[in-house]
Amino acid sequence: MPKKLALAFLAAGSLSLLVACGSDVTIYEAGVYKGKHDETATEEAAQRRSGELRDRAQSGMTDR
Amino acid sequence: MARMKFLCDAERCIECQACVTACKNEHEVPWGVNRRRVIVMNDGRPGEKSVSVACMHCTDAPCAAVCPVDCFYTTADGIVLHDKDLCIGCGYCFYACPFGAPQYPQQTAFGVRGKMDKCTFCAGGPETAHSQAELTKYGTNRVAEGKLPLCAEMCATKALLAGDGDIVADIFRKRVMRRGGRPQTWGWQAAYGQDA
Repeated sequence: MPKKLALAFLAAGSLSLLVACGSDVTIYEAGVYKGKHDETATEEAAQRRSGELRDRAQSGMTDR
Repeated sequence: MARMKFLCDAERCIECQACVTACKNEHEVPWGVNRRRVIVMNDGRPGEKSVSVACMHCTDAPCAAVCPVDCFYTTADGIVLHDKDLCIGCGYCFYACPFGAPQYPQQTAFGVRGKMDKCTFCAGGPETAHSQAELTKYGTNRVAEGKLPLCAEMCATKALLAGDGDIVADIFRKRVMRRGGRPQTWGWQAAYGQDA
């Protein structure tokens, strides 16, 4: 009888542990950036500065 | 969309180290860390050549591929940056990088590695642009001001080119055409002799 009781407790404990691994756990996808959002890294920001950088490269990098 | 690239013309680089100095001064890079270095081949021998090397902002960056905490990201115009708050200073990126770009400040007398530091293409990091936090962690953000990396902008011989890859390639192509051939700094003949 005590053996059966111990098994029941073990099963209940295991179940409660599994329940603890529920929705609160964050599972991160490997290989995807986890840091802070950089506003200057967006497509719009790059589009905004592209003209200026292009002009700068044309005027500053070419031979005079 | 433009892709930002560096290119160092070995036929023009005179090993003045001005790019190294400009970078260190602009970003207040700590002692012992060099985001940019000048590598000399055949030093002191005929045919000596030098190239300025930093992070090449790879399209498929191996540093990002091996990072266990995924602290690397690439901007829409191809600049590879990282978040120092996530970096654990493990050094994997240093082993993965073919250019030796990642650097680690020594934090204690016993040589404990600090957070990784590397060339940002003068584009700062994930902190607010021009904030004190960005300046302290990553240096100045020239790209957000519409300026190109200082190392290339102040290169006296215009050996170091930076900017949109199409423009950089076009400038270099015109130089090669004017010279009448590609430089033999590396390639088959440099590696295996003139008969190769």
